[in-house]
Amino acid sequence: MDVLFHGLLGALANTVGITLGALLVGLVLAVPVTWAARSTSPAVSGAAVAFIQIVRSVPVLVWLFLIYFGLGGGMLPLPPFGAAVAGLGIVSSAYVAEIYRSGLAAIPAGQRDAIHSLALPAGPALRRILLPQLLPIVLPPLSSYTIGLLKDSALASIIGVKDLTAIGYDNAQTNMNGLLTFTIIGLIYIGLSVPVAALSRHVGNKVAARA
Amino acid sequence: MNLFAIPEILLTLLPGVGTALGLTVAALVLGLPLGLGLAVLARDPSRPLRVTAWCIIEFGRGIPGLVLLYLIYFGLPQVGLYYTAITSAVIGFTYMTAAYTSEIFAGGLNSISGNQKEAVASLGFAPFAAFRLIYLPQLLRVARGPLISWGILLLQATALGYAIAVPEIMSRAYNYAAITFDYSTTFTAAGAIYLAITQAVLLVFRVLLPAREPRRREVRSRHSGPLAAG
Repeated sequence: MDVLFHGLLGALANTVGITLGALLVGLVLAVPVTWAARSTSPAVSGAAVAFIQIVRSVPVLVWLFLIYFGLGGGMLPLPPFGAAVAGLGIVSSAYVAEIYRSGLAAIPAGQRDAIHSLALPAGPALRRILLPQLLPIVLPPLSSYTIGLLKDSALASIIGVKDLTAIGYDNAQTNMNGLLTFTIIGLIYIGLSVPVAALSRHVGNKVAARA
Repeated sequence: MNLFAIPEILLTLLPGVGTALGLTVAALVLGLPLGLGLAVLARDPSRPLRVTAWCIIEFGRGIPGLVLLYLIYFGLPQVGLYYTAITSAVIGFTYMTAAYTSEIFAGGLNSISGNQKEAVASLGFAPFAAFRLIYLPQLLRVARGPLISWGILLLQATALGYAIAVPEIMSRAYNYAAITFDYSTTFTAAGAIYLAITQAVLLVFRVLLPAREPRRREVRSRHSGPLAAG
């Protein structure tokens, strides 16, 4: 394939790397955001809800430009790859927090009292009671979001990351065959999203079967 | 951040707001009927038609919007179709709208029970009248929320027009920032514009055009009508 597409393998690694990196940042950052959004203090929950709303109301490209050119121009110089992971990661945290929130909302409040009255330690309570219920609820939306993130990672090419889209662009400029080049690049993205959906279904079935 | 530059930045970006909204509306007007058509086609009894519809939908939903714009802008001239950046963007966003909303419409079509088809046939409705009077209102009730969400996503997607030099909000922001080097103020202002439009659209749908309860024509029985009391 490298003969057909100069630099394809490195580009593939960049696309997958940005997607997974941003997903990881999002999965971790979403925990405090979710916690804050469920807080009983109106100031804390209000701030978290405002954060989620603001992040989701502004295009991803604006966040990337703000981080890469805005911050990068002054206080926090970031390489394009790092800026892409940071920007997409912050955006993911808002979307993933909404997914966590919907999962937690589906668990009856009485279970918290039950866990307390049984004096279950936090670790086993989380592992044996909460997670087996949460995972089947959050995995399908998480996997759709991951596929969305994979597609959004194409924006990294605009700030200079040599990802699949950038390689397609470079190749199309030299081979003058944009139709074929971008169709193949598009099909590679589609091909990459298939295992995500399959993995989510597999893990979801497994967890559901064990619970 | 240079607060004094904000009025000038907003004036620079303002024409881009019209372009972004125009692109969004054009893609919705052209794309929604196509999405509904694809949803109907994807349920056609003929297998080749179904497979074709499925391929069109999955390709449109599966590839990044940016790659789709490049495909149209740099690819179509090869087959003799030369379009300006704006027309290319309208084509791309229309296709995206058709592909994404076909799934929304498919969900709506699934929610309509099969018995209705027999009822409609036995009452002798013409196909178009049945669609307009019976299926479409039910479809829109189910699809309303997801379609509003899509409209907002689409407005944000118009920022991709930057990549093919459509003079929308982000293109203007980038050009302004590249001259003044005031990237953080410019892109913050651009973000604030998208935020304001998004919240305004949500407000309009929530307050001015709230979801209506299904309207039922009152069926008066002979005994509970106003004459019954007399």
